[in-house]
Amino acid sequence: MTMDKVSRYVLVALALMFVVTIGYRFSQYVIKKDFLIEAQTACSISEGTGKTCFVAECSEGEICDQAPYKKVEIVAHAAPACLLDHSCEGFSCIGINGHCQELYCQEGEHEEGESCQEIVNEPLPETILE
Amino acid sequence: MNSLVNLQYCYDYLVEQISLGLLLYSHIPTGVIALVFGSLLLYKTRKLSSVTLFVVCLSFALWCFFNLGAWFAFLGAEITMFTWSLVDLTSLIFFSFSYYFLYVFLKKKDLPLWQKLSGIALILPTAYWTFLGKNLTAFDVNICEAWENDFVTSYPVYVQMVFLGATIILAAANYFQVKNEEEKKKTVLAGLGIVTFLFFFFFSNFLADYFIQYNIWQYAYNVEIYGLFGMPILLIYLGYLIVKYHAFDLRIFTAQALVISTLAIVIAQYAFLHEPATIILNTINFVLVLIVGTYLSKDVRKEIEAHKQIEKLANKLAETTERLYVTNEHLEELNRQKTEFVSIASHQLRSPLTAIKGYASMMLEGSFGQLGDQTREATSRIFESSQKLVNVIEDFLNVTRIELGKMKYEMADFDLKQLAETVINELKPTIERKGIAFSFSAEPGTYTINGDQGKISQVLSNLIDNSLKYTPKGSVAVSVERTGEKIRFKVKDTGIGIAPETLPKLFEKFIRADEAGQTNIKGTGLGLYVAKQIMEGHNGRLWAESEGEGKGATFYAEFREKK
Repeated sequence: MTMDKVSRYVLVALALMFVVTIGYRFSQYVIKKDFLIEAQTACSISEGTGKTCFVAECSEGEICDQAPYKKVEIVAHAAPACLLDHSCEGFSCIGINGHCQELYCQEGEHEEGESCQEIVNEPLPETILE
Repeated sequence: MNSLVNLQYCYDYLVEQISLGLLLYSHIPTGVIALVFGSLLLYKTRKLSSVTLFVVCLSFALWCFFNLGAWFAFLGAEITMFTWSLVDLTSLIFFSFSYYFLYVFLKKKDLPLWQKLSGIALILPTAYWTFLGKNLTAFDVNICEAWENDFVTSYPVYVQMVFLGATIILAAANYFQVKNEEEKKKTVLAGLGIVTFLFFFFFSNFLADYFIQYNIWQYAYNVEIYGLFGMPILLIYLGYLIVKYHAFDLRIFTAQALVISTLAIVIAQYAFLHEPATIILNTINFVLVLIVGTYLSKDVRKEIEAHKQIEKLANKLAETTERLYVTNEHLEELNRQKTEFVSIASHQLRSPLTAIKGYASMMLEGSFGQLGDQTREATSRIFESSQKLVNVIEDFLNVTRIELGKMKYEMADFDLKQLAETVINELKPTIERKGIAFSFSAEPGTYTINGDQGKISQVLSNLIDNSLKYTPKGSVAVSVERTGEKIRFKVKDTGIGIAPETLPKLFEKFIRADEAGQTNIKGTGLGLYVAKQIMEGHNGRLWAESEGEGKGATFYAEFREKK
């Protein structure tokens, strides 16, 4: 039994849909880098701004990095390479061309395993939370 | 591998989570084997079942590729986003086409249109979300993974469940529907293969999600890779179907698939090897597999071609036999019609002949006054000729009775010696006219047998008459003798004899001695055949012996003595 016309059309339509989707996603993600990147970078806030940084909460007996951090949501094509390889120092969205948002901690809205902490000191070295 | 690492952090993060070798080993050979299997199948046959299975294999291979890309965030966030975004849609394609394949394979017909449209309707939302990039929200640099839209990515899981359930129901329903044992076995093999493949895949993904959701195991994604091994299991089942039941009408396929799969596995081993010595050994292994595999494939191909030729010849032979059978039936029917015609014709001839013979006899006996010498001579010839014709017609009638299975025997006890004397007495004019020495001998006593006296009389008459005909000079000696519990009637002549090649077919219809033509002997060639048939009807035995041409012959008719 070979394929009838309807089956052939169905198969071709599906294949076409799939190929177009692959092509479009490739252009959006790989060529245009049109997606958001979520990163964490060192947090340094001057006193009086009213913003607080995130700090990881360690379980009992666990050794973890408790350096304060802020979250950055940035469109991939505008993200500096240091953000991806965790080497940015004093990153700021200022001057970034495209969507870029710095997210600070707000009491009651942070995720499990982290807490808010107000930082009044000068900028700390970049820390990677793992 | 190091040259491919764009994000060192993500590489270190991945290596900490899972064995890179295992990841490669689970994805690459499985995908390659599936792709090779599907492509070879499509190359060999363009049936709908092959096309659907090819789509399953191709989409599965693509899934392996996309999934590997999703794991390999160290290649770049954009690669992970691109490949990760396509895994759900790809998985739905091979889930839906697995059902499609099983349906076509088992039912041997295309999927109904409403089922096709339903399948497409189920896949469309995922296709739409994938196209728009709604299934992923962002790439998390910290964990080197994409963030999924929970609603959009949980939908394909339910659709997978629907296709899996439909596949199980289809296989089970078909198993109970088919009556043929072989079809049942095919259903079990194909059904088990497809269901195992889908179930492995679905369950491993489902299990991983479950572990992660309930924080049971933070490295639960490790489980996912084991789901891929359902594909080789499916291919083993399909390979068995091809070898055992010639599914897809293929033979050579398995040998080729085996060689290519082995090569794929050997190639995949490079993922684990780092030492130069082991890399060299693996390369030697690869070359050996390649050489041996090529020869194996060639040998198998040759053998299969030979098998095909034999099968072709066998089919031709079967066709010829069938034609012969039909022809034979036709001939048998013609023979039956001929026999009936002969029977009718003989009956029609017998009545006027009896009148001719009767009146000739009455004229010879003087019922119509004394005949002059010339008239007597002419009447005498009329009588003898009509008697011969009666005998010929009797032979024909006997043959038709035998062939139509209408020969009837009226069994009674009688003395064979007495019957032989009576027959000889009846043939006396012929014997005297022949002018050869004739004798009859029998030990004193009775030779009682059980049989149809009239028919046995015909046998004895035929045997004596036959010897008289074929003995132009010399003697004919007739005897009745006892041998153990048997009574044997024997006619020994010094006639033209019988050639060794004629002896076995002497009692067949229309068979006469080769010299019969030369000696101008008249006969139908039915006498001995009728005699043989009558003897067999009495559970007796009739045979002839001769030392060859010109050396005379002896005929024996053997009966069981009635005590």
